[in-house]
Amino acid sequence: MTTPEYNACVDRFSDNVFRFIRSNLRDDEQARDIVQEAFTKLWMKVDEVSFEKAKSYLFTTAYRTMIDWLRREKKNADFESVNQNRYTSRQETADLNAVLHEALNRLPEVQRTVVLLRDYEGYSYREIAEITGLNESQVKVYIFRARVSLKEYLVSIEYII
Amino acid sequence: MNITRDNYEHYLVDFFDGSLSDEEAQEVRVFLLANPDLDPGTDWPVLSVNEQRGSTGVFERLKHDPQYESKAMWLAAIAEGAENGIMVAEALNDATDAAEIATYKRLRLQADGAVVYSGKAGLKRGGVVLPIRAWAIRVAAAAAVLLIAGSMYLVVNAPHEAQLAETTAAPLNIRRTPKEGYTVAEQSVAPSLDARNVPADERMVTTTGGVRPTPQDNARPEQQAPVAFIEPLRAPMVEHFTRPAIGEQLALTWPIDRFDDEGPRGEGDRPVQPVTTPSQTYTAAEFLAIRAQERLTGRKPEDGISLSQALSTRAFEKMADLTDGQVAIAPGTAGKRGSFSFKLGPVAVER
Repeated sequence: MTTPEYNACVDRFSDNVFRFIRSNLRDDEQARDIVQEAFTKLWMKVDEVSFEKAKSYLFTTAYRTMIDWLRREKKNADFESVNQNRYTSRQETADLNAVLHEALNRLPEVQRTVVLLRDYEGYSYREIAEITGLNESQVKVYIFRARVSLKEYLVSIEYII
Repeated sequence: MNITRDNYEHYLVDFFDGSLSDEEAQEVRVFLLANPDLDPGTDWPVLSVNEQRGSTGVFERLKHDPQYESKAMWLAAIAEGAENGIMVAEALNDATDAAEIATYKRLRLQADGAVVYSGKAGLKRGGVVLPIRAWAIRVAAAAAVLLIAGSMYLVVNAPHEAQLAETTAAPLNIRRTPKEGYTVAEQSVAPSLDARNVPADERMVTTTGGVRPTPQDNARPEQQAPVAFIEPLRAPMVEHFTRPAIGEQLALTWPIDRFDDEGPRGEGDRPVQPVTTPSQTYTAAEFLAIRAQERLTGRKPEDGISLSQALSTRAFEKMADLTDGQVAIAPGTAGKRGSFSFKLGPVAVER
């Protein structure tokens, strides 16, 4: 990959990677750091990574960096451990997308990741598997579980409202 | 049941139709695992569910699939487009299941386009990345070695004038005051002969330490400022306040001990020592020569360096300039302290 191609990657993918990490962490500052680290690693391997593979490399690197950080910070919240009473404390939100993101924040990290890669970036199961290090079946299971959880959350909200 | 690559299609049809027993269905799965190229992939309706409602009991036929822990997951998979085939059609024909599938299809997260990474410029890189070959690295290393060696040679063999240019800045100020009774020490600032840039009423004859110019001295026109006043030493330097004439003997007093102990500028950390050695008298030429020598080499006169070397420097030229070019010094014999012999003569500064 040439320097102009690398710079094109910055223009084309930095926002996507940033949104992906930010939605996972809900921490803008940390998301910025991770994006920066991902691009730094890409630059260090600029001779090895082709332009076509750069996006996947960036997402993979950013995801792994994020996982490392989460493990360090022990911020990985589990949806199943969330007190269901929290559902009743939210304010009414008319925007479905906002509600879905609220529900997304309650998913386990791995489910949140695969759903974001699927919905934000349109990655296939195989591509998601490559980025996350899971196999395709696991990716499918996590996505299906996530959909069910999102729907249950949505239904619970509608019921409350 | 013996499934082979020749007859597997027959079993697959029964498998899809749900007419195989659990054991037979498991055999089909094992066969497909061993022959992944024959796996129909997403068309493979090997599903299992825990629920038994809707879709005409299709989930009963899917109960061994580990992908689905519930019917809801299967419906979510259909909404994802991960499933198709005859059983999907059955689900879509069921109003309840179809509505649920439609709900799952709505559950798509959309990225907020307003959220952008603000530090793109900081991520970008300039220049062109070129592959560096091994020979280029070796050439670069050799060039670096040559560069370092050349730099060291230049440093070691640099002419002294280069150092003098930095260390022999002319004194900045000379002030003469008509006030009677003022000592030079009391009005002392860094002396200079560059009096032409200082208003006359602000000038003061200056030196330091024990030299008390008389009122007549203070009243002298600045053009007669003595050469010795260029000397920034704190030690008393002169009791003569006229510009030296050619060959004139100046009453320069030089406390040798202080010179030796404190350094020529009196800038040492040690306190000023009392003068224990009688001052000596030099000619103006000697004085300039000694100063030039010291400034040139950082060495004291008694070290006995060649004064011709000292006098051939830009430091001397600067001093000659400070005397308005009225004096030049022809080197005589070099020797120990107090044995210099010079002559004042016409301006003859080599440049």
